Amino acid sequence: MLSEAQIERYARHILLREVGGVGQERLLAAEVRIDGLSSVGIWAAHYLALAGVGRLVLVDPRPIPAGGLPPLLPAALAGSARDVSAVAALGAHNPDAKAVVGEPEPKRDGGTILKPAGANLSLVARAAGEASFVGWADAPPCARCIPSGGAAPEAAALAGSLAASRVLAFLLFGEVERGIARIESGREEALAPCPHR
Amino acid sequence: MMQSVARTVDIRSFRCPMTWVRVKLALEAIAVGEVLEVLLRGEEPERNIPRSAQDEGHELLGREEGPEGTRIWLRKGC
Repeated sequence: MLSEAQIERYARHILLREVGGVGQERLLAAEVRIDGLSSVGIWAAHYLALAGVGRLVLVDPRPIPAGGLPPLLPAALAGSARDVSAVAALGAHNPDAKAVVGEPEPKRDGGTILKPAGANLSLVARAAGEASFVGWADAPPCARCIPSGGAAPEAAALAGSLAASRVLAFLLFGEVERGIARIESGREEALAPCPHR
Repeated sequence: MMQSVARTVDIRSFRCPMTWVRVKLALEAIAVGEVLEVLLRGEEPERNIPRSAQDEGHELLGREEGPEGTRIWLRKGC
């Protein structure tokens, strides 16, 4: 049951035919692990917390870069651990979204991996230059297939918001379509499967 | 209203869009085919609540003016 405060907070979601009170309760009961708090991952965490996903497990002990990580981590926090700082920031964002720091997994290349509890695939999200990459896959493609780093701020924000919206669609409808899309200049194309692994 | 009412929701103290939010939550709480009674007041909800309900597949069974406001009855669709 949604509380009175939650009905007020999520009124705009409840109005949506695809969400409603039932869908919002599903989001509040969900858990998503976000591995990699790059400029993409931090946007995804921001949107999932605002959407009311009940539990976010954040993993990335790397230091916050000198310029900060918009929109959650300002430059004043440069040098602090990304996951610890993001947990603190999200606590003030939405009291329903309980964020915790997760255990890092063995080293892997850059980018952000979102894994909803119960999903058999992971959502890969990355930005490079002006291009955004997002999609469901068993494992992230190698760095030759998706370059990492040097993302334009707009490309990072777009990849993060698309990642969050696809995770929300999975949590609401349980639908996952395998395949990573590359989006640049408003055009979307399917990325060829990575042949290098 | 002769049909049995599964639930009643009073939205007289709410303004748009919270009027429809409250009705929608009440509709979610009853089973398909059951009847929700809505007590409302004012031009906006009288116009919009039946329309929103019908847009989402529910059936408007009737309405009745009274001293305390307007009552409408909605049968929950799929």
